[in-house]
Amino acid sequence: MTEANRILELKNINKSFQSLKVLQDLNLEIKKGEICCLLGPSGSGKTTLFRIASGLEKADSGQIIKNNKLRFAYVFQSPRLLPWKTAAENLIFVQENYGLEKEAELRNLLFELSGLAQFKNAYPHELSGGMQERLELIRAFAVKPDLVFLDEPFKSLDMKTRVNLRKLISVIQAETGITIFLITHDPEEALLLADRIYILAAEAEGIKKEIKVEQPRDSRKIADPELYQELENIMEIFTNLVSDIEYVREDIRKLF
Amino acid sequence: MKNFITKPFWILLIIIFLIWERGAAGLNSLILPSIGETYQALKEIAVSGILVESFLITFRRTVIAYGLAVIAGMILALLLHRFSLLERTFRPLITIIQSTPPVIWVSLAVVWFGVADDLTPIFLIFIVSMPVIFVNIYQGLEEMNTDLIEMARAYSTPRFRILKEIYLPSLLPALVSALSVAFAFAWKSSVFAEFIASSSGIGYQLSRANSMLATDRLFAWTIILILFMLFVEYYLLEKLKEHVSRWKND
Repeated sequence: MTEANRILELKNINKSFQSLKVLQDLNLEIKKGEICCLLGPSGSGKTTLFRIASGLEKADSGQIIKNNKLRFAYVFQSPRLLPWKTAAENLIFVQENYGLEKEAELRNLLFELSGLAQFKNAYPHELSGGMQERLELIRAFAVKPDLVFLDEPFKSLDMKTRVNLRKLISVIQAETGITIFLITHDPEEALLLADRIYILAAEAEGIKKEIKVEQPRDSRKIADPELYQELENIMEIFTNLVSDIEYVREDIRKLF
Repeated sequence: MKNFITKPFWILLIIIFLIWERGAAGLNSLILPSIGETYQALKEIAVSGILVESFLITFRRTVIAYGLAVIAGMILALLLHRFSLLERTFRPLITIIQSTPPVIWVSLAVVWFGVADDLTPIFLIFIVSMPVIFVNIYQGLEEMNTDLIEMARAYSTPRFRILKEIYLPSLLPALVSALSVAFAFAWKSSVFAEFIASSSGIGYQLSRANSMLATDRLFAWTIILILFMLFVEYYLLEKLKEHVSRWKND
């Protein structure tokens, strides 16, 4: 990969919390203009990697290669909105740090796209959980970022909101070319949205597999044989990642 | 004053007034003056100008000392929250100051400053209400949502804006509750110090009424003190509370 094409690279990242090793010799790179997805089961160190890649936390060792002139934006797992500011003020709060052109127009567009136009002057507690997630998401795009980090943004959402948000991200990305680094535990979501998927192994074994999804994003369907096969493959990896409980069959029978 | 003026309270007040009037009818006014006598005393001190003059003196002392206590309590809380060495050094000292009975402070103040009209009440108010402000703000800082600060930093927010737009609004509820509790302490301490060691202010007037056995005046001044305290607590601070928690879900 050429230097110009690469927006972020992690080399041999290690991270432990006390005696618990979370990431070991982890390598990954994110190309400019792609949706790169980190897929892994719960507890596989996804959020730790998100925090290290985005600079919120330091790795114990390893190298993070990124251009500091680039602008990063963040969508946290649970929305981090300022409760004393209205929806619009929450966007203004981050926009003001960058001196952007046409701030207000961009804000209005994002409110329109996310279906929150009527709620610009509402405080976060007046919005539903799904609306708060949407607000968190459009705040990231409101700063015209080069790279957006998304940490399981759809985790607690219902199916309809999920599909809508996925579409919103997909459209904004296609039109702007903003690079997206998405973290999820949902294989379907990864396959429908990402250009490239890294599967994170459990128990600090590093990246288990890298999958490239070539199909155009708009026409992807999980029922498509090729994607379905990929889904099966991922599920198999996941199943193997979860520790084998066959050996306790006898105990289960006895104790119940 | 919507939280204050409730039907049950009015009923209770009427009962208290009835018992008062009934009790006063059978007792010497030295022991318990009637409502009418108290009203008369109130009118006298109002007409003579003592009421406004003494009230303003006590009010001025309270505002000065309370203001200083608020500023000092906030600065101390910020410093001790920020530097753990300071926290480990001074936190016990503040607890000691807080648990020392006011009567000791006022005795010391008389020894140190003499019967200083302004200095003794101001010292007492400060020393009594500053720890209250400190404890509330310090707790507010400890309980602050650090996720929001991390978010702001991640979006390159300058330090000053983080202080102004995250720390300050986060602390406002704790600050308002501190202001409320500390004001009650300040107002009472002010009158107490004036009673013991001053020749002006409401406390001094109370002490005079007491030594002249003018129980009706004692009652009149007490009513003034209570009314003002209620006005601050249930009107001014209530308005402030409503304003700072307008974004809250309740």
